[in-house]
Amino acid sequence: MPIYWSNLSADELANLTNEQWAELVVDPLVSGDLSLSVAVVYREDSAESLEFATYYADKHGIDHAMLVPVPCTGDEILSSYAAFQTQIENPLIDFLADEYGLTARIIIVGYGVPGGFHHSGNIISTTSRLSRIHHTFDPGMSNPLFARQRFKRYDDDDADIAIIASRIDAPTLALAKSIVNNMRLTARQGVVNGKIYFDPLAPTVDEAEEAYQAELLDFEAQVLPVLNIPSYKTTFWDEYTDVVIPKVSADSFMWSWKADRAGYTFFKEKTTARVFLYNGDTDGAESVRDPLDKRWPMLALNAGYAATAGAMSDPLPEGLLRPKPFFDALFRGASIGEAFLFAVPNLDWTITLFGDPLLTVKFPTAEVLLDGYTSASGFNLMGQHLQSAIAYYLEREEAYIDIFNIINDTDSVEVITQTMPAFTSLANGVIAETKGVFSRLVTEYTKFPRGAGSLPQFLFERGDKISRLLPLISPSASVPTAFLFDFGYWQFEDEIQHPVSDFAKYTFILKIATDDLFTVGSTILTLDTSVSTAGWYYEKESNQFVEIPQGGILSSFAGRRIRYVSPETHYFDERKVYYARIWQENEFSETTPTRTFKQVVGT
Amino acid sequence: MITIGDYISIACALERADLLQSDAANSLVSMQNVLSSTRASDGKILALRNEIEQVRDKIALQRSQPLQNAVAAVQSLQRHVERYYGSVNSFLADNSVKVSPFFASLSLEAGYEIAAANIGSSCIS
Repeated sequence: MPIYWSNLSADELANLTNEQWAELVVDPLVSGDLSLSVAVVYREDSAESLEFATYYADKHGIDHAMLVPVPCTGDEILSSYAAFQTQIENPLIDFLADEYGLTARIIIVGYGVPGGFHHSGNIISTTSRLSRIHHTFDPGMSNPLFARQRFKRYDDDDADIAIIASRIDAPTLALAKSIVNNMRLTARQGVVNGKIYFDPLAPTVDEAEEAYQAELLDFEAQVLPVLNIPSYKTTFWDEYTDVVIPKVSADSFMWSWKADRAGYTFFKEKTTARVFLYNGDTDGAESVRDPLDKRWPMLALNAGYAATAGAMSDPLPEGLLRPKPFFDALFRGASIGEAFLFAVPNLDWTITLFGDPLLTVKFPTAEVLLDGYTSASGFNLMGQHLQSAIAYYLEREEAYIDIFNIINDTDSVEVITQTMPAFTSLANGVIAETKGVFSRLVTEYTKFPRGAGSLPQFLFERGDKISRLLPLISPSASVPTAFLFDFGYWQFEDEIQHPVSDFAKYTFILKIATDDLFTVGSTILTLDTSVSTAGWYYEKESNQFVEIPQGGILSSFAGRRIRYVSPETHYFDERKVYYARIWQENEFSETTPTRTFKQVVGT
Repeated sequence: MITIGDYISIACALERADLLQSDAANSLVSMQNVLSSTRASDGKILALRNEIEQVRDKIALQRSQPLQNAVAAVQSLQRHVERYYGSVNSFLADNSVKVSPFFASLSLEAGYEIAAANIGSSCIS
């Protein structure tokens, strides 16, 4: 009976007997039968290639029907895409359309199978092309799964966009098998127990390189602390010097860039689980079969790393692997294969994943990455809804007073004498009811976000404000005027949508009308971020809003929020009910479905 | 005698008041949804959730039965119309006016059934 790795805690893993360990199955996928999810490609006229494929399959409990022979040569790089199609792609397409291949979501490019092909001056990675095997070859296409800001595990919908593909190759069959064993040893470790060596610093020559370096530093600030593992970081020397990591020991990860080659002595003794190494160079993955070449991927796998990645030819700075989505996914329980697919900007391109994509690791931390609202962000958003509820209720009072006034203003004595007592009772019954209904709720709301400090202090520290309606309901919300929204201020908030699978960049169109049908003449405001982004913000990091860039928002931000904050010129009447329609348009002039909202000015 | 214009205004204002109460309840649901996704201490979340639920319960109770003051007001209005016009349904038909289903239900509660022919759509689009 197989034992599934993901079902076990770190302690349970550490206490497995050798017999149990032999039965351990690493199951990184959220659903599906692993034995039929992984296709292992081997060279049909190579006994060693078949031996490796069988070895890998047996270690993972993969059905032998998923071993796919392809009629390829022993070359590491094929001469053209046509040759690649004949030798690898077309036979694999036939297999994937077959009874067993239909369920394949992961492809292992096995020992001795070509790792890439020449195309227009680049070397396209076999794994990158195979990720898009269900789609037309489109060199350097933007990866639709790249850097999704709202994390979700890889699923069938994602598999329709890109398959997880990895390569396991080495100078010898024995070394290739040892890569599989490395993964199992790493899995047995249970929890990451080594350091991350992180080298974000290198001389930059253009804006693209500066942008990449900025992303590395952003990872260092935002995600690295959450991983809760010790780190070694390079420090800045001068703008001309590429400060490199001199050597690594007790390491579990390494992420660097621009250091083209290393040596066997770079990796010191292996006392820790070596999980993943990436160096952002331009040709490290061109060969993993030459032991004398000293390229990073080959050295990393040889040093016991379970997985690594590298470029077969220059991916350009824009195409380098990104650490933030990679570690964010890994931290949340994704496998190496998933994390790689979420972190590689381009497909049908030059970057290759090496090693075992099925590996998942656990980090030594009690902290959990949450996608919900911080208390400050939740306070702000709840305040919008609370002030709306109060505004609606006050408008309800107003409606009853209107009724009273109709009776009161009539010229008919009969109407007044016969109906006034009942309508007076009706009006008296609801006047000031809002205060009674909401008083305790407002009081509790004002206590919600703060510790020992006062509400004004909290609002000051957060740069936040509350509605003017709240102090009317409860004295607990009495704050200086500076912490109250202006009369007529409003803001609109929605979630960024991305209903199609292609990568896209969106602008936003918001229409405000006085009726829900948006009849002619009822539209009072139209905003289009392709014309002006003034007042528009998006949630770049969780709960952190920044101004929308002129060019639009990438589809990878789907699930994050967008916000329009009204300037004084767009203030509406107090408690005015209005309707908002919003839709998005991408660079291909495709639009998302329109979403309609009813809102009230709660200030 | 009340004018047909004032009669329609009253009927529509009553419906509007009811809808605004429903909108308030929906806003509280949204607030509660945000709260359930907000990171805070269990005690604070529980205290705020209790208050939201109490207000929601209060509104739900009010909406489950017509506001008695509203029913009494509609009753006095329909009695007035009946006294001077003979019947509410004739008053509406002769003025080619259809009231909303909401107002018709209030009227029924007040003891004045409005014929289906005199019931139209909501005042509020």
